Amino acid sequence: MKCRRNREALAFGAFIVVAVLAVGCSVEPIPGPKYLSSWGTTGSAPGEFRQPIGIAVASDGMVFVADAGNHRVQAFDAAGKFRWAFGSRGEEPGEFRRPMDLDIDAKGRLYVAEHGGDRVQVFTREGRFLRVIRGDETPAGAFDGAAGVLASPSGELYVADFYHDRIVVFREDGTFHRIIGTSGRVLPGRLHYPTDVDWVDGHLVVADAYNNRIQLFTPEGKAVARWGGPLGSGLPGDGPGSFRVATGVAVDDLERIYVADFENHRIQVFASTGSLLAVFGSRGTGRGEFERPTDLDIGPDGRIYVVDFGNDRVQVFEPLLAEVQ
Amino acid sequence: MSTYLREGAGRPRAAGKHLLLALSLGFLLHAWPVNAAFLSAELRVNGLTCPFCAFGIEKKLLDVDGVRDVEVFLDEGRITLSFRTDSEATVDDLEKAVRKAGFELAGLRLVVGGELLQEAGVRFIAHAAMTFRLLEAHAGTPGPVSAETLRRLREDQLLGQHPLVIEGAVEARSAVEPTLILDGSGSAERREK
Repeated sequence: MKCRRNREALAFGAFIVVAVLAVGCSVEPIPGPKYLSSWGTTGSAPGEFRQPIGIAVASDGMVFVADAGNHRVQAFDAAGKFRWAFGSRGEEPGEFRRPMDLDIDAKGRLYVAEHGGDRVQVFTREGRFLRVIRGDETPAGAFDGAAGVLASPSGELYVADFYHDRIVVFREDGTFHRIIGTSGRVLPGRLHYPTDVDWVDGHLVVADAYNNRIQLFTPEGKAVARWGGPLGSGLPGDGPGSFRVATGVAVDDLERIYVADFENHRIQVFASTGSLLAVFGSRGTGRGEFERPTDLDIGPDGRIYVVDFGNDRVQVFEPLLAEVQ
Repeated sequence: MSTYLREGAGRPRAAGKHLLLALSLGFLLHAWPVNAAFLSAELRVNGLTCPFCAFGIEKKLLDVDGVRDVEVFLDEGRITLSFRTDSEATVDDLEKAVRKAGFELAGLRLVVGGELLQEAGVRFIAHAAMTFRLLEAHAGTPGPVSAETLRRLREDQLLGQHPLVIEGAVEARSAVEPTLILDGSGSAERREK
């Protein structure tokens, strides 16, 4: 009897220790950064948007927006002043069918993923066409909805292949390298309509959109971390740390991961370990409010640029404090 | 919609009548060249709120042979399609495209055009996969296919299978080039090849 009591006492003690540790480890998310400015309204004129959906900020502060409904890319300076646009609806080089996401490599080349055109086109920043990548040589064939693109620091190109539930990796010369992820739910490494990719601390970050979670992979494709819903299962929710369709990811210089939580109309910020750091935004049309944000990126000065899809605008926020870790 | 039906030309009620109609139209289809095509369509899909899905459904429908243009009305769950004149697209094709995009077709309104044919007192438009029997020319405003009709078609496992024989009210814009619109009064019968 004494022995059993001891075991119970030990178990209770262990529970208390675990609970205290859990409380100690859970960080109360702080309020988000302050709203700075916004630009854009509904339309097709220069500086106007129809269903803007992807964004990339260059190292000099230039902002590029995938204006999906107008089948074009628009370029703005850091203050939001329209500079130039290129592209129109079509299948030819330099034309677009639903440009979705963009990224800029170390040499300043602009990569544009097209959902409707099933390709990634590469341009100079000014919009001069350079080449196209279709993924024809991959195991499952060409892309079926190229939704997100990342020109990684290593020179490899990562493409979120929406309907194939996979990330396709290309070498710097554009040749196929490997596939990351397989189709499925809940389990590690399974993807369900991925929409965006980024790079954190030597790992690939994937917006596993319709699994309502974020997943981290090694460059070789091993799933090493996930969060969103209990144990990263992807159960949708609106509590802190949960998602309702996680569509966009961005990473800042302090390796903090920003997620566009589409149907919760907010942005959530995490440490690379998955700990929640900050939450900001709510549904609306006012300053700092969102109507289904789809993507975001971080400027060279740490400013946060969010594509406010449903409001046809881009919103800019102050950098998140460095102390928020 | 029954007011559109010509007296004495209502829907056959007995199974034998259906079979007879099907066989006769089957004969006519063999005798007459296919001469009709979809002109436009309006699809209804539930849960269409995200642009990735909307652009996906647009892409899948544009992949259907003969579809010329697609417009997706996000949040309304409404999709309008136009077709090339040489289109041989079928309801089955449209339904499969919607399913490939991860959705289920919840409603459908079709406008079909073609030369009016007549044989053995039956007037019809022959589509590659479906035969539309002309019941009555009228100038009324047609309505979309009702949910009830779609449900019935699904329960009978008729939608998506072809060839089909479908009766429906008809809006005749001219004597020789009628535009046929399936509406809530439609009934369907599977016709064996």
